[in-house]
Amino acid sequence: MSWADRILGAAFLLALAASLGFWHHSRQPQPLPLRRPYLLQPRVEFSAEEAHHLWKAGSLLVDTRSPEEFGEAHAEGAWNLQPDAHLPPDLLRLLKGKGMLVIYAQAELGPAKTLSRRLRHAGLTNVGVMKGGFKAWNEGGFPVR
Amino acid sequence: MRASILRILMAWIWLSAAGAKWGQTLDMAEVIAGYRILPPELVPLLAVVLPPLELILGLTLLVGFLVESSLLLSGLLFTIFAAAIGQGMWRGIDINCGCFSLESTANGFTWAHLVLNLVLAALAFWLLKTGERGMLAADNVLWREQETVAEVDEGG
Repeated sequence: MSWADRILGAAFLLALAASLGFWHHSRQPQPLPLRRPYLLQPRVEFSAEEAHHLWKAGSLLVDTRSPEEFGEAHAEGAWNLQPDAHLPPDLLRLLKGKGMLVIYAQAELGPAKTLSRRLRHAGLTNVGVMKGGFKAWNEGGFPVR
Repeated sequence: MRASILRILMAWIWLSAAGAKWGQTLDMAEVIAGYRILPPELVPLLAVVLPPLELILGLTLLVGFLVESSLLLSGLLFTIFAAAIGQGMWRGIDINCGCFSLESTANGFTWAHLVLNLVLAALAFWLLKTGERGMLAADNVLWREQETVAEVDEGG
């Protein structure tokens, strides 16, 4: 195979990947806007204690665990919102007026950060995550329902 | 045999990398933006194209289709990844490398990431240079006729 053939083959594979990527992306329920520049998002992380202070001051806790886990026990006043939840404009407007949104998962940060990124990318700036998740909140003796 | 093993190993690496990123465009964009190399306008495009490219390279290397083109692309990509990781280490950027996981709890870059990418790039270019495809490659069937004609022409 000559170098011209190799380069042509590589260009074909690149074109195939781009087509597959854009096709798959177009089928996503809430695709990432391709024409909007993606800016690196600031890391905002709170300890359970800091989250408790924010909660007492009127901020909203957002629980990203499954509805079953949420049903068993959750931080008092928390809303249950999955990391891949649909985020309609009405909900975003509502969340915008809720002071700081402190998002948590069970103990890991991953699901909370995913939702945090999605909310930030949707235009919200009042978003942070709770380190240690519900486990830290519960072990800290903070109000649970 | 040696070429087959290396080709399948590289295919497995690409498929594992693609599987970890598939359908997670936003997390992927965050990882790419974290490298602080690309202009923000290009980040979403790369986040959309990179996982399918890894998937396609994994599949083509696995079945042995367009092996030389796949090796060329693989070598270039591994070199670019190594350079990106190297500059991240040099600048002290503390983010997840996004190599096999987009988990935001992963800790920064390590020398192992850099060395792995350099070794893989060297392997891809070495295989490309030797022209070996190994056994069980679709190219062996697809290009056999053309190669035989070329050999006859050269011989004649």
